[in-house]
Amino acid sequence: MKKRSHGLRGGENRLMLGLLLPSVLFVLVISIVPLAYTFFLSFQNYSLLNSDGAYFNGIQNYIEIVSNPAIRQSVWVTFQYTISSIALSTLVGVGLAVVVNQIKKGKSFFRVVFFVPMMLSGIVVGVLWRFLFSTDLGVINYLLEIVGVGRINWTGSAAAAMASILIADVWQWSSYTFINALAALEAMNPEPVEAAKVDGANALQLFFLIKLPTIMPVVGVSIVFRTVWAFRSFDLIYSLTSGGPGTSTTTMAIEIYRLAFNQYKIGASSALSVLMFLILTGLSLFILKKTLKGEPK
Amino acid sequence: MKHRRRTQIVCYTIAIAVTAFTLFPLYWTLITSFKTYREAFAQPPQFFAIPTLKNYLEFLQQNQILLYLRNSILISVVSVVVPLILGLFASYAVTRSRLPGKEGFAMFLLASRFIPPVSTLIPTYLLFRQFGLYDTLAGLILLNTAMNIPYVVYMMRGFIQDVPLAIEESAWLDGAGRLRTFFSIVLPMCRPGIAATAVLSFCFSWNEFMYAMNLTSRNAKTLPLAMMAYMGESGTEWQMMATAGIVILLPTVVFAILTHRNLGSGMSFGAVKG
Repeated sequence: MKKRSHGLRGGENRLMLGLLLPSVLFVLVISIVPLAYTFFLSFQNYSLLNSDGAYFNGIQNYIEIVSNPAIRQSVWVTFQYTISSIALSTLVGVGLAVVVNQIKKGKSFFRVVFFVPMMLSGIVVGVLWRFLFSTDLGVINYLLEIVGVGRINWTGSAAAAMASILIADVWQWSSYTFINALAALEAMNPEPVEAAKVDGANALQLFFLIKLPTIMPVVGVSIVFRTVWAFRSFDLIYSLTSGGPGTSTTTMAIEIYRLAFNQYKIGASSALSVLMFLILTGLSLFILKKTLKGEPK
Repeated sequence: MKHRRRTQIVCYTIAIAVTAFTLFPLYWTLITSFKTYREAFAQPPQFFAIPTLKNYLEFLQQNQILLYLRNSILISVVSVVVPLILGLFASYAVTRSRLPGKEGFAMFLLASRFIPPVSTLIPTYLLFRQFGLYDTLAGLILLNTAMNIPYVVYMMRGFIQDVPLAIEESAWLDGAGRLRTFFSIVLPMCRPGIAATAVLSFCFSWNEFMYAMNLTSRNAKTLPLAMMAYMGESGTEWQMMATAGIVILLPTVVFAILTHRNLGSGMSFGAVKG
């Protein structure tokens, strides 16, 4: 490479820029321009009902999202949901990966089965669980009654509604952590494990002292990605509980939607969008710093 | 030996239990789609039914359903092909060039993956109204393409890095240009990665709901919207919901089964490599 003249290098850079620019411009126009527009709208008094009445109103919208209890609650619900969802799906996903990795026959069958849910439409998954959780018709309540627990009004109370979302969520998203953790376990050098076995280490020691530290980078990345997705999750909650009962499962994503399309408060909705974007940017910068580290130049 | 066998038994028990938990909701949806209205609402719930395809026929005969199906297919296919072409070029440039500032471009593309779609919904709605993109396939294709491009760049980086630089360099020495080595060496070697990326992009666009719901009214509606239509004010027709659900799930399940091996390693290594 060194022998190439500067003229060639310049031509090459132009070519590379040509390869890069279409993607960059596309994303800039379709994703970034609307994002900038959101920032703009967050400082406007703007209603979908009378679009000509838009005017600059400073940080009024931000004051509203801080002072409105329903909106404040949506932030709290989002954190609650995100943290529970990540904790549960990571536990299940990693646990399952360790289990499946030990299985000798039929491993690929289990791999496919546990992989499928994450590919499915969030809307369909929400609807499917809504049917299963249906208070009168649902098969879950039927089974609970048989085993003596009795019927639960899943959509009737805040705790039960959140539980139903988390169950559906773990059902769908453990698969993501699972597939990543399994790939990492399979790529692992088997020697340390074998050596530790010879030395008489038990299964728990093997897991915590050897396997977990080795797959931790992969699990870590899965956690951060899942956090970003859970934080902005819309489809599953929309179709399972629609944010109810009341506003008990209304996350920021659902609240942003409600504010804009049910209450026509474009300004407040945009301000909440900006807040959500800022929180997520913090998280994503963290990921990118991790993943771009050590890239060959 | 005894210990080892016990471990196997424990592992199989757990794996089979979780398999049941994973498959039951899908089984329930499938069996519900084969039930009559009366059977779907029966108490106690019926775990088996004599399958009838009546619901599927009714679903397909529904007004406009073929239009929704066509829209879904068109949007998903175009939103796989265009991002793949653009994204592969960009991914190559970001990974293998000495372009000054390429990290900045990479960062920009990757960071845009984390913009929450709901936070740009309102401005997109307003802009689409203004530019005549509301309720058009072109509009939804633009959005899905923009969402898939960063994803392709992100996924393919890991695969392109895996192509040994030495192979490319020896081709350059033989006089092949950059583009030529890209097409004749890099692309063929990345085939598994391209397949995995294409499948995942397809699924994203096929499943996309929020934009489709809010940016269409008649002409550009997609399949997920057809399903939600059964959630009526006067009660939900569960057997029809299930039928629509199965139709929507089917292609993604088939893709998952066909490509799970590539997808598995692709996703995780795209994440930690680099």
